[in-house]
Amino acid sequence: MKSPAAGTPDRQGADDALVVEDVSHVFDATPAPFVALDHVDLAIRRGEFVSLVGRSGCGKSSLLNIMAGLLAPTRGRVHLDGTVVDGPSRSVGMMFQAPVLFPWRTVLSNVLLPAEMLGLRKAAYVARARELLSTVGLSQFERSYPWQLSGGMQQRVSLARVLLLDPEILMLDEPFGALDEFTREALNAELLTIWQSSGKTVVFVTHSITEAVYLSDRVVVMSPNPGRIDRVIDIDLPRPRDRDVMASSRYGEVVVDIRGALGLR
Amino acid sequence: MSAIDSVPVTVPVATTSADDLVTAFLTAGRRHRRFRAVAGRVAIAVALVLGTWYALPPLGVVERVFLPAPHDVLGRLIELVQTASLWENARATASVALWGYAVAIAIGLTSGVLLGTVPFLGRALAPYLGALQALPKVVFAPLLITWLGFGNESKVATAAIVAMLPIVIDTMVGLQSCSDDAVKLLRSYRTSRWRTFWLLRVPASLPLVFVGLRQALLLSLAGTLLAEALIGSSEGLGHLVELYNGQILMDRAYAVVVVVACIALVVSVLLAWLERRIIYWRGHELT
Repeated sequence: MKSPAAGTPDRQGADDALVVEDVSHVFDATPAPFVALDHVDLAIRRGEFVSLVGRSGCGKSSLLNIMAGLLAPTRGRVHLDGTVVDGPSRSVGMMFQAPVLFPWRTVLSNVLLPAEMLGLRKAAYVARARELLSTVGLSQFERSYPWQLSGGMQQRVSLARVLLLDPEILMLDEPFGALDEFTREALNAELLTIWQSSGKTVVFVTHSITEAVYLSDRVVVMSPNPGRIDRVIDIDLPRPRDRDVMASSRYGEVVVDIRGALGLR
Repeated sequence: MSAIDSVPVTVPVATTSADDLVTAFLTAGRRHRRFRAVAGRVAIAVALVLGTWYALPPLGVVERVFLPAPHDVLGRLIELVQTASLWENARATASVALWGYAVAIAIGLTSGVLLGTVPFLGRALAPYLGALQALPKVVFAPLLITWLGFGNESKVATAAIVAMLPIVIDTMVGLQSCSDDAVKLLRSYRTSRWRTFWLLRVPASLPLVFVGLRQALLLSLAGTLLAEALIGSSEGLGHLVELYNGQILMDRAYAVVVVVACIALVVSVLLAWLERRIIYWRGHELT
């Protein structure tokens, strides 16, 4: 098979932030190698909110890690802004299911961590860090320690941290998966607000179909063994969305459609 | 991921008696009940020890000559603490133990950091650390005398060798065992190894390093006392116990043992207090 030269954005449209091109990934495992991803193609437009859903083992987290440059695919490649991804990039920010806050640092100091990790001058980012903490409603907690906060508040700090260096693309790996339903809805609404006002591209991995439909422009439905993209479903619900959208009949239809694609009846 | 697989991970255990005492002390103002509960536990322990102590000679387990009654020991203790000789010997012991501790920290931290950060070294040497852990380090004392003579150097060296291993192992394991997500987070920012070390690995390892440091201080004291008794020293509390023991002045020997116990207790409480100040996030480790 012919492959284009590195860095040529030939398969990438001008509006594409991220293009996954024929990516396969195989993990060494006993008794047989595990095919996490099998010939996956996907293009994500600039400013788009895309969710990856599927059962455990369908390769959605592997795909996210490959897109983020944290995992080198066995074959295929990922283009980010027209260049081939060969490692983590500053234009990508990651968030995980665990808040991963350093317990020896205050909330403010945790939000400043990305600047320190890159060896940037911390003082230059303090004002922005405070602004972000106020965006997520935690201004009065900047001097608290993470373990003095609830799980939802910790994940808010984590959200402020990923926004510090203003990445173009947010890659969120089940970010609210460990939270209770109420906190999760509140954080989803906040995430939508932040996304809408910033124009960032978001790739969102989740187990929750309703969450994916509520948030996304497109939902990528994946299936395991080997990990593949089954369908990509456009969510044509109006924006901006609020909770009322969940009461609409169109919302219900889309959810049922995706459940069908996942083999849930 | 690295040598961590082959070394049993020592999980920091937060329930030593020194800890209890610090907790009790720190919260005494606010929580009298907690303080009383701990005081009650201590009282039960003391009563058990004293009761057994009094009961053993009448039961014929040991002769009164070799196990003088607690009140006799207390009398001797009161006499002893008023003599300059006891404090000179205590100073000698403290000096050797602290030097031994300092050497153990210097060598232990250095090798622990090397083993914990250079995967090749960790993998190659970690298995032997386990074996070394099983070996009673006092066997080195005679060799050290041959090398270093009968002076303080061989005693310091004995104390250091006895104390060193927990620092090495806990530092190594502490540096290796880092939350996968945290490592991933730092990797996503292409954080340099050097920055990863200082921003993440060092602080994350501190709780475990402190477990090693606490063990090491008491081990250093034990090593010093053993060396003083073994090496035919002419000073130190270990020498004093050995001396009184040889003269069958058992009440004095036990009085010195009580002094040693008190020193050990004070030292552990101090260290537990220091640990709380330094590792204020203890119990909320990054997972």
